[in-house]
Amino acid sequence: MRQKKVWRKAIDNQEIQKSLEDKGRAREIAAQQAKIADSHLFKVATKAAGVKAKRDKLRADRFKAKEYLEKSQYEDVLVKRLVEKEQRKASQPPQKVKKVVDEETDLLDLWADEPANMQTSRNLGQFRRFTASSRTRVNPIVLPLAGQSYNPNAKDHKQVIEAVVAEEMKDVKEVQRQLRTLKPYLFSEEAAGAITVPGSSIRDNLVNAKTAVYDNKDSSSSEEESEDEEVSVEAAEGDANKGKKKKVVSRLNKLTKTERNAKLLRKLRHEEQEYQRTVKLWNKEINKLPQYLKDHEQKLREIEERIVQRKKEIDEERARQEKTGIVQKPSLLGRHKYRMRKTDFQTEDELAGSLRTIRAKATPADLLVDRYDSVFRRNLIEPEMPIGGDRRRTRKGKYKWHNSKGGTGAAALHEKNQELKRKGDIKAASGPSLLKNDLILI
Amino acid sequence: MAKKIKKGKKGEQSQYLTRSKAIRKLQLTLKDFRRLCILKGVYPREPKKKFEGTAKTYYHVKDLKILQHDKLLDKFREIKAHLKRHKKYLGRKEIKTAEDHLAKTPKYTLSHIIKERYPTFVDALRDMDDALCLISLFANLPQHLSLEITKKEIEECAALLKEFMLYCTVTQCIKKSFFSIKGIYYQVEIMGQQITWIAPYQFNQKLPFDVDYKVMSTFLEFYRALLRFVNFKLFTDLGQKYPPEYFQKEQNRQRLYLDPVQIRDLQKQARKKFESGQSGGQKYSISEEFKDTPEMKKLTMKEEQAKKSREIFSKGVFLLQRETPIYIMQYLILSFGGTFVTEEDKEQLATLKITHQVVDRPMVGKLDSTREYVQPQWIVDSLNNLFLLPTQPYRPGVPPPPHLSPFIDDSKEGYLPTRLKEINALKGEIVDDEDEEMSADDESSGDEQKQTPLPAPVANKQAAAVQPAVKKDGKVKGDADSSSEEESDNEEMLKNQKKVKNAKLKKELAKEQEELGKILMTKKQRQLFEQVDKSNQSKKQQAQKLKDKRNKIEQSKK
Repeated sequence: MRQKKVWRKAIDNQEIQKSLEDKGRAREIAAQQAKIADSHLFKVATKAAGVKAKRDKLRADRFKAKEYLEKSQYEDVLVKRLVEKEQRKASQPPQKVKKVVDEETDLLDLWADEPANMQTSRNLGQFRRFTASSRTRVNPIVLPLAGQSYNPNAKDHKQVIEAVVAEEMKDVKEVQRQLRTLKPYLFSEEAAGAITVPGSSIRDNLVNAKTAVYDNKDSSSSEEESEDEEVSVEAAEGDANKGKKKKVVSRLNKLTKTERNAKLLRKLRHEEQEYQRTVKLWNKEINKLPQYLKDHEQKLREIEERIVQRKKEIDEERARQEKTGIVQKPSLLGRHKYRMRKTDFQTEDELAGSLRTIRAKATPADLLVDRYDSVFRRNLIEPEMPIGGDRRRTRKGKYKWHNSKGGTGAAALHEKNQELKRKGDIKAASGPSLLKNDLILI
Repeated sequence: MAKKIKKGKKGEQSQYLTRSKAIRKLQLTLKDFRRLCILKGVYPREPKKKFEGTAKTYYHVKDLKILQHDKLLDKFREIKAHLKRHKKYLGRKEIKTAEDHLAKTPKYTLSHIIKERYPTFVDALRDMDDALCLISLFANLPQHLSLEITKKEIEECAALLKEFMLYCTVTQCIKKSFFSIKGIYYQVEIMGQQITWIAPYQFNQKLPFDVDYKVMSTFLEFYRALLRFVNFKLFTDLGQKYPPEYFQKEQNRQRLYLDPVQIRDLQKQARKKFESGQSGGQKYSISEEFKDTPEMKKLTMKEEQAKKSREIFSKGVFLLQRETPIYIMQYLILSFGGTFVTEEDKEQLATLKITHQVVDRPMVGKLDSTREYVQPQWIVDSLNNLFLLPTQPYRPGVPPPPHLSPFIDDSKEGYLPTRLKEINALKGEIVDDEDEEMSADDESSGDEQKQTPLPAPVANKQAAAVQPAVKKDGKVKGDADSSSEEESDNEEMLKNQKKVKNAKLKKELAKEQEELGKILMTKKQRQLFEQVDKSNQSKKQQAQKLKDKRNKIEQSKK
């Protein structure tokens, strides 16, 4: 009970008082409002609200912005911010409107400003320098040779023809070299002899040619075997002789003292000889050590020289590509490697004496091919098609079965057909079929 | 313990990406990727170690970042989406809507790319070779629907090329020309940069189908934009509007060829502007020490050559017959100070006095004695040598002399063609074969002049001690003292002897050094050196053989 008393005393009755005050105020306001006429308080729309009226109403307070502002706690803060923003905008200089260049109608002097004003990041500047140094700028135009004039000097024209012939011979030699690895029977002398054996079929000749190659190998291996056999025979003879000198002693596997001593002495002597041999070998190796050191130094020097030489070659190639545009060592950018186009030329008959009768080697269409080729020559795009043959494809051919037989087997088939035809002709020439033909003729 | 570096985080593996990975990163098709690379100037590279195999194409990561942050990438995607919608409209057979939709395709500009790739104007001029080749090619191609070669592109290429050639003609900066079996080579010099390109002959042709026209059209798109901006810059620097007013006039648009009268006026204006620009600025006085230096001599020689080239055809009026390649001749004649007239210009024919008639077929009937009849090769040979050659060998109906290439350095080849010797003799530049070797050694490597005008004392070490120097107009070049001739002759003799002695000493020293070098070489190096030496010797022997043959033929003719 005492606690309840204490609690009652400690009650805060401010809220109750406040509510009582609010009620009183509300009663007073209501009384005041009762005295005021209705027309002063609000208007009642007796007529039907028109569209115009609605529009006006909406326009007056479309988004209830006023209500929001009146109710909002942050009204002052917002207004303050807006004012500050406007002031800041007013204080800033007017922004330059960027000119959008429409290529069809408008042109700008792009290089009017100094290049120093163009701000680039430090990294971009470094990267641009790296790009410029690492990339070779191949000359887009390959200058013409003297002999490629429409009316050339005899010597210059001859030089061009020689260059063209040299290029063609290089290709021919490359093809021959590949054939030599794939079809050696076409090039070996024994095969040449074997192929020309008269009376035998082509298939037999080819097989002989193939076997001739392998026979040589077999003979060489057999020689080695025979040598081994000879060695083994000699060794066997030696053993046999030794066996004759030995005395076979059967004494119930017991050795005498002298025999034991002799055996021991032999063993020691053998060990001593082995040791001497190893010491000799060590001495040899030690004596060779300066030579080994020299060789090592020599190898290191050679490696350094090779690096210097390689760097020199790369620099020379780069200089040649930048100056003349001729690419001898192309970069490998993709699956295929680029190969320079062959030298353009015209034979003496094709050369025109005048500009009117000139038969241009390169019409715009051919020059277009030349420009397209220069795109790959300058490493702008990786070549997608194999240019001038692909080595990898020819390498695969080495392991194909039918190539080893020398062709697709068409030659063998042809031979077979010829044989059948011969038999058929013989049959037709003799017997009742011949008579039949005669009867028809009659 | 040291931090472990994960695989692929350091080294070349982190700096390069393969093409397929790059395409996936940028989320583009191969076609768009290629197009973007061509426009931005991003090319594949060859890293030292190809970590994903030798059959792959590698791009630098930073190049790809540049592509990633470019505006063009977004434009390509917008265009792709736009075209997709267009396809949908076509699928729904709403053709009108599809056409309207296609007309609203987003457009892009390449100005920012050109500015990025060529920060200075000189960088842009350096890349003009390929641009001019491709544009002159496409200007002569026929339009093709399936290969997407449009009439608009062809006309634009032709217009741009005409504007550029007009600039070259007005500023008289064409230096060399050469007719080859492939096409016509031109060389101009603008702001110290030499631009060489090849233009095709105008023939009917069939288009090859082994060329990727999409790649070429992308290059063409870029080069068209580049040439447009370059032309703008060139004409604005010349003080003229762009597009040039010459082509805005109706009468000029209807003409097939340039109007020489208007071009001459434009040339005068350009000359005035250039001279006023030089004199208007700060006047520089050249010091006495610098005047004697080889660089100053080179500059003066270059200026003299430029002046010569402007006036070489100044007294010539050329009548170009219709079988001649007028589309080439007009630029060359006007650029070197001449005037030309065609058979259709009857008014001009009546008023002007023709000095040269350019003919390319055998002439029949009476020839006018007041004019020279020449083949078109005469014009090109004269301007290449900056000397009006005799017209007799170039008369019509007769095979002309060989057309020599101006791009070949004969001193390096070690062989002077007979025709060149004749031309040098006509010009007064007599150089013996032995002297050529000496002059080639003495000249600096960057010298473009193949045959320098003598004083022969420098060149002819044997003849100088015995004979006086080769005379030109009765005087020896570089001879300052003309008052006492005997004293000057003695001084000259002494000078010549000294120079001969010095030259001998130099040669001996060089020989000794060579021998020392040979001793110090390793076996392999010596073998290489001997191989190189052998090939040089064989070349010299061949040249000698040909000379002997020629001498024999000449003697037998006598």
